[in-house]
Amino acid sequence: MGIVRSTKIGLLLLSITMLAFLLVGCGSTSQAVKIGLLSPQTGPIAQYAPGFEDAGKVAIDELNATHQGDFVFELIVGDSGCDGTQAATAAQTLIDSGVSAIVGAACSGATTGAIAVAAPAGVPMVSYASTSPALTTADDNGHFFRVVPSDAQQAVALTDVAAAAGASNPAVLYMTNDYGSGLGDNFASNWSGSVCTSVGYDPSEGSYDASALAQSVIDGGCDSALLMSYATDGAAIMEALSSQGFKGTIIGADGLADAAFLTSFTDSSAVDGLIATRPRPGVESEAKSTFEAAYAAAGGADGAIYTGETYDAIKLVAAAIVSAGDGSLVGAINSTGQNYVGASGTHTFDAAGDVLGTGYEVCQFDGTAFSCPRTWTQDGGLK
Amino acid sequence: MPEHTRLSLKEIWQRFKTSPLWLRQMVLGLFLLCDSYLGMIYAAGIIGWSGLLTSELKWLVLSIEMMAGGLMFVRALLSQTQPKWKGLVTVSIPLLVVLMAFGVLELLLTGLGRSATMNFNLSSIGISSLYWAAVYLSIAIGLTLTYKVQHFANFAQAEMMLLGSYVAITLMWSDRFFPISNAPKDGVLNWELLIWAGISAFVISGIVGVIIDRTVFRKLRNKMGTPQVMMIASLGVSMVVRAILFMRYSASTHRFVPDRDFRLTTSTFEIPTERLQLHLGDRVNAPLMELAPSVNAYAFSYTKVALVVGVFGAVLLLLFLLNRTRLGRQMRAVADNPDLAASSGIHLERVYSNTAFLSAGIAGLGGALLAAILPINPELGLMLLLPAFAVIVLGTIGSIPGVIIGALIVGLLRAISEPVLVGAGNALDRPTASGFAEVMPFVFLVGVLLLAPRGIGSAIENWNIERIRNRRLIQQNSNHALMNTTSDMLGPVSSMLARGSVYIDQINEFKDKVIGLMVNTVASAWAIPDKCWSRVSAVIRSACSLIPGTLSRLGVPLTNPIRIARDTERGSWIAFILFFLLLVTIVLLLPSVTALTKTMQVARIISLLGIFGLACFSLNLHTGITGMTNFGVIFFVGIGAVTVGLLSAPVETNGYGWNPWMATIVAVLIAAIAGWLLAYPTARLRMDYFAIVTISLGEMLRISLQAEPMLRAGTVTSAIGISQFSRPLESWWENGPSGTMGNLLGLHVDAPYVVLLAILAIISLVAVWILLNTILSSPWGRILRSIREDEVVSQHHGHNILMHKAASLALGAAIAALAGALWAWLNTNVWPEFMNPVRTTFLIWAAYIIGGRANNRGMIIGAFVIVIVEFLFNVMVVSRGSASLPFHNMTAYLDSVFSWLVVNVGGIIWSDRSITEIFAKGDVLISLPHLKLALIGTVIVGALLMSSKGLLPEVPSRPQRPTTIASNPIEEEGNK
Repeated sequence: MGIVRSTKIGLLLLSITMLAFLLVGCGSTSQAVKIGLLSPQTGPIAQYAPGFEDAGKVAIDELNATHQGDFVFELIVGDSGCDGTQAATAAQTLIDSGVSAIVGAACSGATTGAIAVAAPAGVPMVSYASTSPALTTADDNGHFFRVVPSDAQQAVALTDVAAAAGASNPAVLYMTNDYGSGLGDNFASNWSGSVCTSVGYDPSEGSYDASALAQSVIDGGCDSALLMSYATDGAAIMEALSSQGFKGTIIGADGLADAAFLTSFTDSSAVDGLIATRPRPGVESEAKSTFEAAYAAAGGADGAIYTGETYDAIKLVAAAIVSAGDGSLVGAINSTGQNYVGASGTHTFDAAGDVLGTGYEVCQFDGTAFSCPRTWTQDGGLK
Repeated sequence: MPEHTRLSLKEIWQRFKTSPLWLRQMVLGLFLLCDSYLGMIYAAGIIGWSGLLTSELKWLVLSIEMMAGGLMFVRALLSQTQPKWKGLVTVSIPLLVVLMAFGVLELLLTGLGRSATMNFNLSSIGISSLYWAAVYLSIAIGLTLTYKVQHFANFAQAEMMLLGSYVAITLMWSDRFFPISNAPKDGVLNWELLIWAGISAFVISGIVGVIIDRTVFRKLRNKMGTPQVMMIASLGVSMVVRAILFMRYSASTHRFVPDRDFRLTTSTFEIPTERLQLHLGDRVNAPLMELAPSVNAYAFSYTKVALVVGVFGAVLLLLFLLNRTRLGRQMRAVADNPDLAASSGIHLERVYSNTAFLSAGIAGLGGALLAAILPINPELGLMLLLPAFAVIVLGTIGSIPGVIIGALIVGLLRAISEPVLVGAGNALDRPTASGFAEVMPFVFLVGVLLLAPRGIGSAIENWNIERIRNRRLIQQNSNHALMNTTSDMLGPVSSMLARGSVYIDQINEFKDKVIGLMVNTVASAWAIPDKCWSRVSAVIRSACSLIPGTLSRLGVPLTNPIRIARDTERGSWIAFILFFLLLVTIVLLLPSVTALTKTMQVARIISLLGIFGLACFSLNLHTGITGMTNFGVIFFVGIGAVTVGLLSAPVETNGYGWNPWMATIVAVLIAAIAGWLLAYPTARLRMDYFAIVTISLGEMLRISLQAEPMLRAGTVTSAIGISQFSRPLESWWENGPSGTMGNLLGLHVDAPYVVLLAILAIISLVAVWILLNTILSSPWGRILRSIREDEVVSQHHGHNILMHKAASLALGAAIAALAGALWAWLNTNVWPEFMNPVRTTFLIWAAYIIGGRANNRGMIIGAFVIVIVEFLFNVMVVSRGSASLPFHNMTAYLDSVFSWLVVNVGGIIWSDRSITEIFAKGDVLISLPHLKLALIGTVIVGALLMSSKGLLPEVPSRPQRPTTIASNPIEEEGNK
């Protein structure tokens, strides 16, 4: 009995010591620039992680092609788990591996957890998808930036779009995560007319019934529906609305405003007539089309969200690293991020590290054809 | 006269104190009902007059008071019902609870002077509830079957369902079936793929279920593992299976399209429907209830029809199999008494295998059909697992008819809670209220369990036994004429059923033969590698046996160098120190670039060790020492974190601006009170039911963080989460000590705050450890242990079980709340995801089981292992990015192995399309975070297989037994 047990302990000892030797033996130095990416590879939005990483790879490949000979950029991907504790541990591992900056995370809770590690270590962070207003005031010592505008402005754009589409009694369907509920709350406070019903749902598959949601829109007698959703759940709800015979206008936010949204449908007839807003790309910018072509060529994941933002965040950080030399990277990110023309819009960081945005473009599906004929700006309104 | 009144008051009090429990409950319940009624309608009563609470908080407390009063009153009434009515009353409890909730809502709205309109679309609700019932049932039926026969909760059941989904999707991508799936719309339904997918999902999931049962659970059964150990092992298995699915099919979602025509928006049955409108609260000229025509007919999509028909059909077949065939009788016999069944010639292992096959198979079938409705990714299983647990508890664990009814009730509840919450939420300025729909099954379950502590299935079963007994009596007493005519009338049906059961038994025997043949073939093929393996392990073993020898030669005083008896006080300490040093070595060897980052890394590990260690202490006190299976550790941790966060957040952003120390003390007190109060309603609950109640509480708090604006602070109230709260000694630290500490550690910069946090965590951990050791070695500790061993005996000896349980719950909850406070400070925010049971409760449980139940030293080791595993495997996760990182070459090697497995080995089974659909970029790469998940799962299963009592088993307080007896390992492991 005792012998067996002590042997087991011995075995454990031996194997762990061997592991430890492996750990130490492999370390060596390299002059390459490492950029960390926190991606929600496990957890509630794991389905969108492949899209973020594919966009990241597109950015790194382009950077290495442009800076050939000077810099070798490496993307180190950690798993944020969409959770503060795990993201902070992952950020610690990324910092331990020697990354110069961290791009991420996606979920706002994960981002705040990671800031608590990255800021004291002096590693700047640029988030590509965290929209929570809580991040504006986060205790980051100036180390945190993001390339996504906060929800408040888009909610104003959505009210104008809804009014222009003739909605008088819209239903508001929103996800109960920070993105959805922020957008939903801000829409409700900016909308002057009546809201016929306001329904929150958890976007994880298996926790909402799309046809029941659709039926509640119809039973409320709503003439239109606003969808603050991601691509997969948005498509499921639109299919259910169409199958329950809803005839009103459907208006969506940036989760749906993409030609690739079509890939989330099995019956593409349901997408017809959708109006959706998304951040406006820079004037006469080719960045967006260039990125989209490269993403498709690299076989990027379908039904992805925030890919343009991920791409922009990585390229912006890389540009700052190149320009900073031995100087402060935080300062360099700040100065690079002034009128930075990216695939997801023109980004200008303010003092809190937020982007102001240059307004939104209003896109629509006619049949399955996707176009963005109108724009919305803070000053000019809908045009 | 005054004397007289005084006397009578005293008398009343005396009478009240001596009156039976049910009467006291009834009086208290009535009082609470009246008081809350006064409070709601007339702004009077205790809460109204005291003026302590205002606005939202007041209404919340009033509603809770009324609900509690109602439950108490009904519970007292129930305990006095006649036995013959009891079954009926118990079954009607769910309805009663729902009616009560409506009543409270009505009064609440009336009190506020508002009105709510709820739209119940009858067909929509009916079909939606069938859909939810089918989804939950496909997991719950397997859970309950495993529970019935093997008495443990199998967490891997949800993964079996996913496996079925992926079998269907893989089949869809095969060369034979892809043309069917991809065919353009033609208006004709092609059933071929759907039927094949259903059958193969059933068979393949079933076989995988048997393999898992053979490789993991059988070994634990042989080691007499307790249900808790089996449950945590199943948690490990579920992690491994989920990770494998992630690695093979990626995290992206995929749909199973049996034929495009199935999924058209026009592929539906039109069901005529009407709307039932309910007006609650201050209604103006509107009736309470009215029927209104619906603008559209409800569309019931074909894919949902397939799921509902498929799952309910499979469950009915299972019922037939259990009740009419020999196999079913065997399964029931084993469920009742395995030893007796074995003695009457039933092959136990075969019955266990059959159970595993059926449980996993039905889940797989459900998964295949569900994949035609929802986009599938491997996370889906977790979303359905907890509601499935609610279903089996509601229907009484282990009762098959109960689980069907439970699923229907929970399904109906999911379907009606949405319109109720939307209606009430709009009236109460809580548009977010519908977010609570997800937890309504749990809220409801807690309500029902308070009234019917054994769920409703046991009532059905009792009623069934009663019925059979009566029938027997009638058969004995009267002539058989009546019976004969009925059986003649049902003649053809019953003979058909009999023939069916014969076929099933024949199939079963044939299957047994085939399996026997396969097992023999595999065994003979394995003989050669097995011989090699045993040789290798012999070499390793002899190498290891050298270590203690070397130690003794180095002068380490080991009186008995080979034997470290971990179940003695001294051996336990030695093992603890060995494990601890080992883990510390790993910490020191973890790579890091600079001294600053290494300091931060170590400080973070220490802080997490403190947090997880405290949570493990709390769990150990509840579960290991007192014997209450607490699955809601995160509930108490969450109370701590949320209270600390809310109280110390700035006032201008919805917080209270308290000093963090004061906030911590209050948080610990609140958690202790919550723990104490929890003991009262749950005292009568069985172990598993208590587990479900506690896990439900955790989920409720998590969803409240998501959907309740009162639990948001730090920024605007539209932003989920609590942030911006002050942390203890933060400004003091930054104005001096951080610099000193920085110099001391040689960092050249100020030491970050996490270093201070690590110090605080260590102090708390050690202080609580010493406190617990003192308490547990006192007589009270012995009483708690005696409650764990045998509640009745302990009660017989004059101990007030309820009080001791309440005290244990309160103390444990306080410790957990302290962990929560530390956690909030480490994360600098409290977000709903932080309470996700997968990352918290389950991990703490794994630490508790691995470390060793009822041994606080084991808790430290268990917590340390869980924390280190995360860091260690993270090093591997990030290694692909750069050639300069450790493990990079290993990653490349793993990729090539994985690619070989997927393309060359797996390619025999699946088509090329199924590979290119997932690995669209051409390279087949292994997903490292999911490999990490698989490794964590393997560590859990491996640790349990190696030592099912944990690394540091409990040190029994009884005197040492003579060593000669304790030589049989099986006998010792089985000694609970």
